[in-house]
Amino acid sequence: MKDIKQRINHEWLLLVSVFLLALFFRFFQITKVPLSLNWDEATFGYNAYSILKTGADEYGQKFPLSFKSIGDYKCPLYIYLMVPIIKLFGLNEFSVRFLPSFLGALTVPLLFMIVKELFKDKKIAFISSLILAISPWHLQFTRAGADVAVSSFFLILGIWLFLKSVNSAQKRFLFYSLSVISFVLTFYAYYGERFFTPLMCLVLIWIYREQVLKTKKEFLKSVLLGVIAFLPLAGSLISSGHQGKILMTTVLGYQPSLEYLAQMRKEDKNQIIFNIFHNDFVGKGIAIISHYLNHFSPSFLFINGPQDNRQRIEGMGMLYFSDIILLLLGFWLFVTNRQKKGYFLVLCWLAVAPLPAAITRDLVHARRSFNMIYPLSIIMALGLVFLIEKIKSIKNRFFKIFISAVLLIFFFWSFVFYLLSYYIFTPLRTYKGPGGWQYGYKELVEFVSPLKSKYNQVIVDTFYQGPYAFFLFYEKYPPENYQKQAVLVKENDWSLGEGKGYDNYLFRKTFWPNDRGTKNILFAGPPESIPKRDIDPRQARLLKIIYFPDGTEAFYIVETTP
Amino acid sequence: MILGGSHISICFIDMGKKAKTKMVIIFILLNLISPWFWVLVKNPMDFVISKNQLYQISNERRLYEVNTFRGEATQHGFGLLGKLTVNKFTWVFKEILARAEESFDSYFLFFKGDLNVKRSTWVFGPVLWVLLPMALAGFLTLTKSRKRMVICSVIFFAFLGSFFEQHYFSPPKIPLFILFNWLATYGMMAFFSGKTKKSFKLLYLILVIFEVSRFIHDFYFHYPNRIASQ
Repeated sequence: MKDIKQRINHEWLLLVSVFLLALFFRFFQITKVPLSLNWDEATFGYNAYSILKTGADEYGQKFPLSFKSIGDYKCPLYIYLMVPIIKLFGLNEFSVRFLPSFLGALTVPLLFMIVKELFKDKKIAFISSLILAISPWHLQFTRAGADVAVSSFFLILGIWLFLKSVNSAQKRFLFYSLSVISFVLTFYAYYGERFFTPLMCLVLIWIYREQVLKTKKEFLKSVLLGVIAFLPLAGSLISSGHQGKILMTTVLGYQPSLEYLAQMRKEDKNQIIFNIFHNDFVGKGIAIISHYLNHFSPSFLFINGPQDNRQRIEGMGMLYFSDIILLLLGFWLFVTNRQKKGYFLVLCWLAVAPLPAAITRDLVHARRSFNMIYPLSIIMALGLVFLIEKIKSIKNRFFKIFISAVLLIFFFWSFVFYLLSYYIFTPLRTYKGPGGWQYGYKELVEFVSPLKSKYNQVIVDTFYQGPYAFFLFYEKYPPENYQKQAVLVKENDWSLGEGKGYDNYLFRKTFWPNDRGTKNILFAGPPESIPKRDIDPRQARLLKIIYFPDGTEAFYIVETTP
Repeated sequence: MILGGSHISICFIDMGKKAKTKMVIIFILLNLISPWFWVLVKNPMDFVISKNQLYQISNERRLYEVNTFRGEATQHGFGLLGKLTVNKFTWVFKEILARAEESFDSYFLFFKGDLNVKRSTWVFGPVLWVLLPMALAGFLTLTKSRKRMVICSVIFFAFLGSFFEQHYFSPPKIPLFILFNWLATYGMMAFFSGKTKKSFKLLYLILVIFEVSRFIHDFYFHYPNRIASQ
C-alpha cells in the first residue's frame, strides 16, 4: 500500500515538475518576447473582445463559426476560449498569449501520459515531456498567440483519451466520447487539423483495430456523438470563405504564370511532350513531394528553419543542434522496433504530421507541420535513454567521463545559443512587417490616439499591413461602434484585406506628392511612403519618429498645416 | 567496388554470383540515369575543385557575424554567455556541421542541387527522388546485417563537403551520390525479388521510367536555356 502511494506521489511529482518547467518557459517575458503582437494576434484578441461585448464579431455577425477578420476566415475555438480570459485580464497582450502558453504547457504532461500508455515506461515518458517542455519548436508556437497551440492541445488530449479507451477495461464509452469530442474540437481550432486529425484518427483506428473491433458498440456510439459535435461546422466548411482559404493557401489553387507556361511550350516545341511533362498533376505532385520531404531536411530541423520571420529562430532550425544525435539514435531504435505497436504509431504519426504543410505553397512551414514535434520528442527521448545506457556500459572511466562531458557541453551550448537567439538575436531581425512581428504599432497608437480629435482626419499608411487591427485593439474601441463602420478593403479575391477605417481614421496607402497638400490631417507612415526630404515645413511638420528595435526608422508621424 | 577493396564486405551480403552481377548492372544503370552524372559529363570543367574553394576559418563575413552576435549579447548584459557560445571555434564547428547536414537536405538532393546552374539542372537534384524509398530500404537492409561501415561511409562522405566555402557545393559530394545509388540498388534488389505484389513493382517501374524521361526531357529541352539565362 505504501509502495503504491509512493509510486503515485512519484509520478505526480514528475508530472507537476515538468508542467511547472513548461509553464516557466512559456510565460517568462511572455508580453515582451516576441516583442510585439502581430496582426493575427491583434485580430484574434479584438474579435474575442467583440464577442464579449456584443456577442458578434467585428463585422456584427452573431456567434460565427468562421471569423472573416482580415479575410482569412479564422477558426473560432481560440477566439471563444479567449473571451473569459479577456473578461478576467482585459484586452491586452497577456490575454491574447495566455491561452496558447497555458495549453502549450498542459500539453507537456499530456505527452507524458501518452508515452506512458504507449511504452509503459515512466523514464521515457518523463524524458519525452522534458524534451517537449524546452523544445524550441514547441516554444515558438506556444508563446505567441497561435491557434495551432490550442488545436494541438486538443489533438494530444484526443490521442491520450483514445489510448486510454483502447487500453482500459472500464469507462470505455466515456474515454471514447471525450476523445472524439477532443478530435472534433481541433477542427474548430485550426485549419491544418481539418486535414491532419482525420488522418491521425485513421492511423489510430488501424493500429488498434483489434481493440476497436472488440468495443465497436461504444466506439460507434462515440463516433455518432462526434458527428453531432461536428455538424455546426459543416456549413462553414462548404462556404465560399473556406473554399477560398483552401485555394489561397494550398498548391491546389496555384497556377504557374502564363509567361512560364509559354516559355516551356516554346522550348518543348511539341504540344504532346508539353502536356506530358508540364501538366497540373505532375507539377502539383512534385511540389507536394518536395514540400513533404523538406520537413525532414536537416536544413529545416537544425540549420536554418523556415524563412518566415514569425516562425524562424535566428541561426538555427526548429530543434537544438545537439538533437541530431538523439534523433539519429532514436530513429534507429524506432525503425528496428517498428513491429511493436507503440513504435509503429509514433512512426506513422511522424509520417502524417507534415502532410498539412506539404499541400500548401510554402517550401517549409513550421506551424502547419507543428504536430511533428510530438513524435520527434518521443524519438529523441528514446535516443537519449539509449545513449545514457551506452555511456553507462563504457568500462574505461576516463573515456566515459570524456564522452559525457563532450555531449553535455554540446547540449548546453545548443541550449544557451537557443536562449540567446530567441530572446536577443531573433527579435532584432524579425520585427518588421506582416511576415514578422509588426513592431511599432503599439507605440504609434499610444502617440496618435490622444491627438486624433485635433485633426480632420488621421491617415495611417498600410505599408506594414493591418494598422486597423492594432488601432482597434490598443484603443479598445467599442465593437458595437466599429461593427457599424466595418469595411474590409481587398486588392483582389486572393489577397488579405485592410480595414478601411473608423471615426476619423483612414487606413490606406499614402501618396505623399498628393497628400502633402491636404489641410489639417495627421499622417503616419514609413519613410518609404513619407520621405523625410519631402516634408516641406510650409506644408507639413514632423511630430515624431518611431524606431524599430535596431534603431532604424519605422514610422514618421506628420501633420499637415491647418 | 566503388567503395574500395577494404569496404568490399559492405557491398555484397550473402549473395550468389548471378545476383551480384545483376546488382552491379543495376548500380551502373542507376548512376548512368542520375542527374549528377549527366551534368558532370556536360560541364566537367565546372566540377574541378580548386584550392581557393576550401573553407576559410578567418573569412570576413564570418568574423562580422560572430562580432555582431557577441555585440548584441553584450548590449543585453549577456557578454560572457555570448562569448562562450558565439566565438570563432563554435562558429566554425556549427558551419562544418551545417555543411555536413546539407548533404542530406532533400531540396538539395532531389529538387535543386548545387547553387551553380552549371553543376545542377535546378529542376532535378543530383539524384532522383523516386529512388529515395529504395535507398532507405537498402540502408535498413545493410545496417540490419550489422554492416556498420555503411553508416560510417554515409557520415564520412557527408563530411567531405564540409570543408568547402560554398554551401551545397556538389563536387565533393559525388561519392555520397554514388553511395545513395548503391543503397538504392540494394533496396531495388530486395523490392523486386521480394514478395511485393507484381502490380506494385510495375507501378514503381513506370514511375522510375517517367521520372527518368522527365529528367532527360528537362536536360535537353530546358536546361540549356536555363544555363544561357544565368
